[in-house]
Amino acid sequence: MSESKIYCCREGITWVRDLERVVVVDSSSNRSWRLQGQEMELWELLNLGYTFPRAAALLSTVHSQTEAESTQAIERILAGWVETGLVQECQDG
Amino acid sequence: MANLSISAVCNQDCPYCFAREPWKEAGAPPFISPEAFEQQLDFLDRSGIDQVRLLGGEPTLHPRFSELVERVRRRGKKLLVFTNGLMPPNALDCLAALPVQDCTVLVNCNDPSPDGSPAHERRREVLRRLGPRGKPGFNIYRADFSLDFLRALVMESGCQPAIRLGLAHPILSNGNRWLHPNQYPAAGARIGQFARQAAGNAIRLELDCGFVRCMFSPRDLEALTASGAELGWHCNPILDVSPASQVIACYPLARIGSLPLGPLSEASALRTQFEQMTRPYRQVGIYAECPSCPFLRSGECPGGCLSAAIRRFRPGRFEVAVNSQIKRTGSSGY
Repeated sequence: MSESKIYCCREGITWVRDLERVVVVDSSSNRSWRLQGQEMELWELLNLGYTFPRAAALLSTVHSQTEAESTQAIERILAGWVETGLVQECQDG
Repeated sequence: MANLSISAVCNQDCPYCFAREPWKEAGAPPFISPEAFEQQLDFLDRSGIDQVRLLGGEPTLHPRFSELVERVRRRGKKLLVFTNGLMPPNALDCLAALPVQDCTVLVNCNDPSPDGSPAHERRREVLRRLGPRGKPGFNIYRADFSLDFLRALVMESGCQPAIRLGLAHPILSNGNRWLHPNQYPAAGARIGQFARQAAGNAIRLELDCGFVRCMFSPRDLEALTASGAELGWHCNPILDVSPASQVIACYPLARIGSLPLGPLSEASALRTQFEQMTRPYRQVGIYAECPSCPFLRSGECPGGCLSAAIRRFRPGRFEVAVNSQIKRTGSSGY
């Protein structure tokens, strides 16, 4: 049985889409991140309200990947975001 | 530079006003006390600043305005007053008596058509009395503005042959009307057209902060240069000090935070603190295209007003359940 994880944005995070990148700022810590490529796309999809399966499906189409590959990529990106403090694992609700 | 706001009170209700909200939120007193004013002059002394820039609200409504001006004079500092021109007679008498080389009064003029002629007539009278101490200014907050009345005002009044143009920038608390950067090219074309007329009358245009290089066509830039305008694209927030001696980076950025003016405060140190607070946002311009712009890359243009750039940001709140569902939450932020 696989374990389900919930990730959420940290409080105070704001972001903006430039032509070829997304800039994310955490005003509480004065930190910022520049996201490009698949990270940028995932960030936008999550903020547009896409579900995990829909995001994975869309990214697999855009990048000619299998959905399993996209799923792995998303999990890898989320883990990286957790590591750098952009998102955190959180409780549902 | 630093602006001293000596009055939180104003007798106008300009839709683009960026000064109303910050002091209201900070609970500032209506007028600065002479003691606090002296402390702020000490701050300017410590910072090596020899020009006192008085703002409001409407600074000339301060009941002891002449006394404050006298205190500035005693320090041997030059005076720059930002006014809407609807000043009490005693304030006008005070300013009109100052040596021309020590005093500039920037009279902010709104378009007389919606404003009504009494206010316009008063500004004309004020500029006449001030003579070369006076200079009209105009804030652009919508794309369909007209500047023709300013040319007539300059020529009739005998004030400085110059017009200061400002772009209305957004305050982060959403409290004012401002010109959206999408409208900048249209505004740039109008300014260019006016610059050609102004140059014919030897009237110089001065551009305040937040203008960007790309809003002007090469032809309009040529016209601005011909009018004697010093072209520089900058966003260098000038410290604003409240009647309660709270300092903000500049009015539009007031929401970023304020710092108390202490007995040892010094302008460059305060500016450094505000720069640190705003640094993450500095990598973003007013347009999505800014990062790839050659003018930004060469350092010629900073990408416009920082406040307008920050207004592009949106809150990033979502929850994603891996292999399950993503849920968006919240909608607050700048």
